[in-house]
Amino acid sequence: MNAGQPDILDLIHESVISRDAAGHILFWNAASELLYGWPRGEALGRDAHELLKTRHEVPIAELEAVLLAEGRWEGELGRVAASGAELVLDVRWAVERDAAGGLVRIIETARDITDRKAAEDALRLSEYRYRNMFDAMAVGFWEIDFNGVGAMLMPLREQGVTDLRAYLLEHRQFTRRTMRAARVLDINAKGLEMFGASREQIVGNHIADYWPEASESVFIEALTATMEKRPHLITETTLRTPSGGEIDVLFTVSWSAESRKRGVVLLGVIDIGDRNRAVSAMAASELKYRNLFHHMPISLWQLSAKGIVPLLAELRAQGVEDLPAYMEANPDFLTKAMDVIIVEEVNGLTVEMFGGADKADFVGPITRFWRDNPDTIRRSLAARFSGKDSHVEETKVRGLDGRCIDILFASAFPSALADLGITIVGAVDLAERNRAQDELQKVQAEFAHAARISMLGEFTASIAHEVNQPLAAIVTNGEAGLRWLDREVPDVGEAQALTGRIVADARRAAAIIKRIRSMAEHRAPERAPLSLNEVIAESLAFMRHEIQAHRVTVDLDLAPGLPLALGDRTQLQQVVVNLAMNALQAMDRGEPGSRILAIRTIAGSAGLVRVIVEDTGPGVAADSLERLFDSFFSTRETGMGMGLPICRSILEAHGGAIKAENREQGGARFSISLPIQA
Amino acid sequence: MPARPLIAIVEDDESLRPALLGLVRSLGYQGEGFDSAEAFLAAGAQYRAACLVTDLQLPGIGGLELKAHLDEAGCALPVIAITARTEAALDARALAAGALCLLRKPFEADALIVCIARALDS
Repeated sequence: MNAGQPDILDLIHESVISRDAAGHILFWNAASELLYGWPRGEALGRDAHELLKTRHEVPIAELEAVLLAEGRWEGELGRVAASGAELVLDVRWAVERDAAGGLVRIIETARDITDRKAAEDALRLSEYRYRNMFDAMAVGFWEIDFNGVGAMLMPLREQGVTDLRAYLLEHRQFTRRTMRAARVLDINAKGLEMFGASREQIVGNHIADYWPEASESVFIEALTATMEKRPHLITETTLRTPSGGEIDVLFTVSWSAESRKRGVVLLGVIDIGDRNRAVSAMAASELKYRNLFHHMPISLWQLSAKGIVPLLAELRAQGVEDLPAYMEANPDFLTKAMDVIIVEEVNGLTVEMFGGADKADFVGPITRFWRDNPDTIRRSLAARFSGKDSHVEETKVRGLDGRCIDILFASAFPSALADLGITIVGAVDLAERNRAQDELQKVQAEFAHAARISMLGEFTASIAHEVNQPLAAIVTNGEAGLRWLDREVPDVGEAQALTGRIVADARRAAAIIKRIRSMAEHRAPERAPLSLNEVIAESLAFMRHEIQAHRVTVDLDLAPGLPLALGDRTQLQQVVVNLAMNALQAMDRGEPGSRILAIRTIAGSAGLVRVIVEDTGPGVAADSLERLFDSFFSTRETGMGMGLPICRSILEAHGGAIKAENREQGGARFSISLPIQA
Repeated sequence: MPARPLIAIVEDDESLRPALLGLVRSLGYQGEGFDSAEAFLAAGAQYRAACLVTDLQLPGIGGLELKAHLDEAGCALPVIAITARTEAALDARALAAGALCLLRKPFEADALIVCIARALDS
């Protein structure tokens, strides 16, 4: 073997290295480049242990001493690859000496057993898991002579077969023959019971009959493990009994150092039918879940949370506590998050509701459904991040056909589901409900309008009065103006001044008409921020004449800086006019001097503004208080009994309330509350 | 009776009152305006005026009440009532109360001129 010679050793899968007495690398084959990540050019001449950071429980110098004394050493070493990856290696060292006994070089072969170590750790864990089962259940033991099998496998090595597993998987006939070469030396009583067979039927015979074709891969695995000298193998498989039945078994292969020398393998076989029955129950429950998932009359989505969970964990590790604030500062995060939340499955109703052709159309990132309205996902993520089990809200989502769909969105991520890496999202179509709500709102608006028209009917005299005032001024000023102009020397200055007044009065008349028209108009109610103080002032302007005609004094106490409420101006004016009108009529019987209509506004607590309307009338009879807001209930002979119920329905549609009571000092008090603009 | 008779006007509408004052002045009369019956009485205008033009609906004492008050006080000042109200019964009530005439707003200037002329003739 010459240093630097690209020879046959490069074809070997194992790492082969040679070094001189001082430890400098003389030879470095292709497998070594692959294993350690150091190219040959960089490895040659370097100190092997230094380059590869060789580690062992015993100091390396002592290992070297053993090597020199005995000519060889083998064992496990820890090393570090160029990439920094930790390696566990099964290493053999051999000393090559010249005729004079002088050290020529040390040859090393090494096999990477890092993965095997990890697998062994996993196995140890699973062994622990199954220990209880071992203890609880009787195990059937088979002692099997593998010498015949070994004899069949040896030539394969010589033929250059390196991957035994692949070879066996490919050559099933050969695999079958190896089964026939494996002879049962012994079997315990439990083993016989399990297989329902007599000792004579089994001992001395081969094992091929007990391995159904479907279980061949497990046999191949066992065989490979044997050849790779793994300490044990545990797997599940199905074996066939002599009577032709099949049993599910937990199958363990183990070799003691002693049995390995004899070519004997110990098979432990445990009937896991019970366990599998439990698994079947789970499968049944899984089936139930699937049935539920696919046939529930709401849209259900199964999302994979496998991408988002680590993303959130990473943020937490970075010390992020306030996810909404973080997303605010890092707008890209939400997009990134949506891209890793993957739709795995949807049910049939989802396909229908979201305008798809097939369930498969939905599979993929959720991004395309939420691009226009990512805030729902933002809030859902925030809920998950803050440890909540679920998030529910009303929102809009984009269907596959491009439609915008109103839904009630509910995402659930309890820990039980999180363990499975899934999130379940339910969506209920709100179109139907919203349609009903719109319809109700329309009817309510229509009633309110009808009540307004009826109210305006009661106001016709007032309206005429209000309009006639400016008209009278206009006509009078106009005629006076004409007179000034008709003089022998027309007084243009006077006429000009009067014309200015005419214009002002015409505007005043127009404003009155406009106010009345907005009351009479039928249009959809709208929600706009408005000052209740203004609403009250406008309502009173509308009623100026009525108030005067009823000889009532108005006592206004409007809170300065009152928070704005959200509402429909006309409808709220209607409420105020209605209450004020009731108050005027209630006070008709009292003395003119004592007729006081008091209206106050108050910035209430809990995000409410309040309007209090009080009068000095006789108050409301105790038995009427309860029914005051019932439709068609009126304490007046001419009343329609529609005013107060409409007031209540208007306020309730605004998220507010109204209540009536009697003042201690006499008279009625109506209290309105309305939510302020958020 | 002075050369230019004084026409007193009681009207709370801030537009109409100056308009009426302007009209009577353009006709060659003197004019004096009040925004309430109380203000008219407080000014003692009933003793100076040749004619009173008053709105029916006023804050405080109304037009017909004012007429009754004047009657009680033995004051024969002729009263022309004006109103923006529309009730038909008002004419009868105004005349019964002793008003010379009732003019419905908006009224023609000539109608007022005729009424004032009648009042001054009486």
